[in-house]
Amino acid sequence: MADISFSVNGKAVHASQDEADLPLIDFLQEDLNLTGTKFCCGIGVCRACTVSVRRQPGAPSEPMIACSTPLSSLSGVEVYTVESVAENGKLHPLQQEFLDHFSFQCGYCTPGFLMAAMTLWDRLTDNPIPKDALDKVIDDALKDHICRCTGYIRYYEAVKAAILKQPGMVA
Amino acid sequence: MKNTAFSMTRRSFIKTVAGVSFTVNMIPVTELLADETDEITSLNSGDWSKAPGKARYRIDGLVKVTGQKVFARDYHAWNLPGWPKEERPVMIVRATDVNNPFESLDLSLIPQNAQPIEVLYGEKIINEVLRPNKLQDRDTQENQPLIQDVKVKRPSALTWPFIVSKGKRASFYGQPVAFLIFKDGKDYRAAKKAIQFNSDFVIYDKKPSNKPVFPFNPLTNYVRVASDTKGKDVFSYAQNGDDKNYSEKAFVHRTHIQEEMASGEWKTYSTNCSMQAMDPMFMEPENGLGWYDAANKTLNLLVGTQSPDGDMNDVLEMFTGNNPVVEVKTVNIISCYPGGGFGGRDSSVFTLNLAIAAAYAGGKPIRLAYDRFEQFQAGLKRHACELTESLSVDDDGKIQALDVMMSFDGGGRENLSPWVAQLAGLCAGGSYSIPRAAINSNAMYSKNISGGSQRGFGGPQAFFAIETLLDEIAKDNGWDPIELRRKNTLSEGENTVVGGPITEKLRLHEILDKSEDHDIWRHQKREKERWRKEGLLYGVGFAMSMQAFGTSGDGLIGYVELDPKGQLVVKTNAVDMGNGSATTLAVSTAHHLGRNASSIDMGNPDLYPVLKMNSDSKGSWKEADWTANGVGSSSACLTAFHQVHAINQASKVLFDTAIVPVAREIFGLPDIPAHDLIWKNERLYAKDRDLPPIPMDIIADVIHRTGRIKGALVHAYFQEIWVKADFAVQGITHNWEIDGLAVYSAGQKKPEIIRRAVNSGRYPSAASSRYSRTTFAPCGNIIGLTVDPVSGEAVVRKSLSVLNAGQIITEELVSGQSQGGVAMAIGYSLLEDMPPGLGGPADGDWNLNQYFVPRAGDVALKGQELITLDPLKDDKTGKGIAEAVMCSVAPAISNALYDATGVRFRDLPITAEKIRKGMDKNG
Repeated sequence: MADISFSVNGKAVHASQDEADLPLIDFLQEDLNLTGTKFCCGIGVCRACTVSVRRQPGAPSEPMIACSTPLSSLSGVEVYTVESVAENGKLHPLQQEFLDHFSFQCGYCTPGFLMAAMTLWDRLTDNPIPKDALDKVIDDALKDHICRCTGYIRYYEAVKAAILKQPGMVA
Repeated sequence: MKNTAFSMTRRSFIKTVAGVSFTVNMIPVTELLADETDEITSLNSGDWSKAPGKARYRIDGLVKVTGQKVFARDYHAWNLPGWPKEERPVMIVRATDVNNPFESLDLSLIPQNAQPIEVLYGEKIINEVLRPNKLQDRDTQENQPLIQDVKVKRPSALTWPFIVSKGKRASFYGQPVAFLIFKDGKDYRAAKKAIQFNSDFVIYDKKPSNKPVFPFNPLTNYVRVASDTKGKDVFSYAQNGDDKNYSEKAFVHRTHIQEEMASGEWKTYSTNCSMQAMDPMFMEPENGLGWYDAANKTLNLLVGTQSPDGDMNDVLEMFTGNNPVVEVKTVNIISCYPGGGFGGRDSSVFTLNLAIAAAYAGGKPIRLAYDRFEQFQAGLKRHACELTESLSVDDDGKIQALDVMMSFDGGGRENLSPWVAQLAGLCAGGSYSIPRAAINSNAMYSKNISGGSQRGFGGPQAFFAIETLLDEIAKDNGWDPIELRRKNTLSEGENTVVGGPITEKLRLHEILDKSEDHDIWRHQKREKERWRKEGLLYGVGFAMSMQAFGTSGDGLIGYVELDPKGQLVVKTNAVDMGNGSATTLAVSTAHHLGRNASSIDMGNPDLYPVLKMNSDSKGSWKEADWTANGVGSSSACLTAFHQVHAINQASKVLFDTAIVPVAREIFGLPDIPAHDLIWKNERLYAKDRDLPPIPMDIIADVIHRTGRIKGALVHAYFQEIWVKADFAVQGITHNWEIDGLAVYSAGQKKPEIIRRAVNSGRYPSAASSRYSRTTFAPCGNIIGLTVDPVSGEAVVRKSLSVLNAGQIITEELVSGQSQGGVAMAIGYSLLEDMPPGLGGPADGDWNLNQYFVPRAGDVALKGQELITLDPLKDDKTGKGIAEAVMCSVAPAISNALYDATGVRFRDLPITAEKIRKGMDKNG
């Protein structure tokens, strides 16, 4: 049987068919030593393990729950994790706003919120929306995520601030 | 990128436990890896420091927002330098039957090629000391002391064995029956898939038996009768608690109070409340790595805990038996940031289980990493509570008497349960002046999952009862709920229900005034009408709490060092569970040293032993090395007042003994008073003198070149007051609010321990040990919510918290803690349910698909507001507010539900089904 081939943060990776049932999060953490993606509930409820994926090159970004996605479903998929967000030592605007808003406390849910927001960011980059629709799309992106420390408000405010500061995302 | 956030501090010290000496090395995990691997070298805190005393963002923010390795779960053995790369996963199998003896495991259910390489049953380590003194049922056979071949000694804090032996009954749901150690992750996963939810795997003998139910000691019995003289009591625990016949006298007073309440002289209202157990649901399930290095007789542990001091002591004690399973000479502890805590990682038995597994793994590294099902089954819980309360008021609405009985379900392990019940006893009196109070509060042993010190520490349960009763009294008599509270607030100089004095301005009236003036309270009618048009019922409820922070006697430790370049390093035993203590402590150097720390090193149990102090129960303040309490666990409420004080005082010692002498020399002003030396923009100025300021790096350079004092390690103790004592340093006597000190000089390896003068100083009174608490963070909450009359669904639309937080250090951290507290309380009130016994998580099959924690849609994202009272002129310190806001949210919700529906709900959580049924019953 052929290996399962996909990419993680722009690098091609391969998994053997023996690992077909392995959840993506275990592969990221144990095979690739990418531990930024967090395990929490393991059943796809809390969204702490959210990564951003493109099903094929050029396809729109979408969130994926790494704890409940077996490697067998990832052939050809581009996976992006929190480790890919800052480039050349420079934080992404979403990361900077998370910091500036004191959005998180323990920080364990942060990569999940960040990657969900990154997916939204990518979407708005390609398809700007009216400003008055922004609250709704932020809520759609984050409403299923669980944070036990902060009460959510500061995450929402940070994502909104980052998007509003970025030219061309809202009309 | 240069690491500036975490200093490399692999420190070593000798610790003696039960007559056995160990070498303990503390290794911050971030430093270990930053030093030895390429991939982590970007670890740093970035440009977090805004200005002296201020933070631009969290000091731990950058590493967390970029997904770097700061949590224990981020590590495997193969990441750790010097560890074997082969890692053995460990699975703990837990009891789901507490009535029948554990017989065996059906290992045939595990695929042959995935069998564990080691099955650790209880009898391998069970021959140990039982602890009947911790229990009430001393006469039962199974609790008789038994001292035999001790492989792993059970620490004195633990009542029941680590692992149930074959033929024995589990003492509570979730008690381990075996540890399974697997060859690798592949086998572990295959085995887990086969057995995790298979009830046939653990076999029980069918010999039913029940364990008796009894309370954990101590029991809380607060009875108070006030006198007509303000502050003086006829009888109270604080005043009479040391009397030999306190219980008998208390019984007489209690009976009299109850008779008066029944006499009809006052309006007396009674209620029963039932509150569920609650999971802290911190996001990172407990996990860690362990490795017993046989060649070096060294036990290595990588953990993230709230209680590093206590965990370390317990782990060491485990290997002091007469024939330990492995010989341990050295323990290396690698400490990580915990992914949330809320009390759930405080004195958890997890670290001890990790040590056991490591000891039996044949010299290989092991990994114990709970999944969420296991965390629900094994992790500490907020206690379920049954509560009966009566409250009497006179015709003017003045509270005359209170009678309360609280029973907390402590579960199997004692943990901090009796202390939770004890603080609940104080909280039962709310924020009010109550002349007659009779309060019983006990934590009961049961077979349920163990309870622990969850956020609020008994406060949420106790405040819920009195705040919903007051609302009922107000509504029943046509009184305004806020005005009723205003008539009864406690004030400075009065006593709590324990009899302890109120020694600060609580500012409860201001909280009531601001609540009363707020739009949510003022526009109730308008909002009711607005929501009625949308087919929803709207209600508003108010409640107030006065949550204490700290414990009845807190020992704190803090270290501040000036490095050769003028950067400040802070070290503490405190742990940052996410509450922001790392950031708060890092900015706390600024008051005395003019700048923030550039490095913060958290979770170090090695600091206190340096001082060589003793806290023997027979000691006294007359002994220069004695303190009433060494160090305790970390809780979020200990940061702003307690831990900050230790760093503040260490900074002051450094200022007085190092900075001032050097500054006098450089300025050429040998007699300039210390208070005329003033920091501005990180430079030191001589007040009213036209001299150029001195940069810190110049001062640091002189200190290090001339071998002067560069660092101060202090121990402080608070019990109503801070201990204040004289210390002679290099011939000059200083007076500081500390009780222990060591100073570090440049070029010297060892610190100099300096004992306090015993013939002077300020020390707590003996009576203050019975005050329970004297520091409070009052808070009022208003909740505006809607109820769907058809489904019963309640949605919080607006919330206001009015908080007395004292002098706020970092506004964003206070606000974030408040918002998190409101969210958690909404879950507690409306969503999170956890039945006892096998109907709940004890069965091992619970997860977030059954346990519903609040999401963004459950909190009033755009309708939530926090008002903090402006600090008074005399407010020099902050208050520990982590749990302050949470405590009165649940009763405010219940009161709002009554306002909306006309039904009183006192059975938490108040689910949509309960609301619907309540409304149906009410017609």
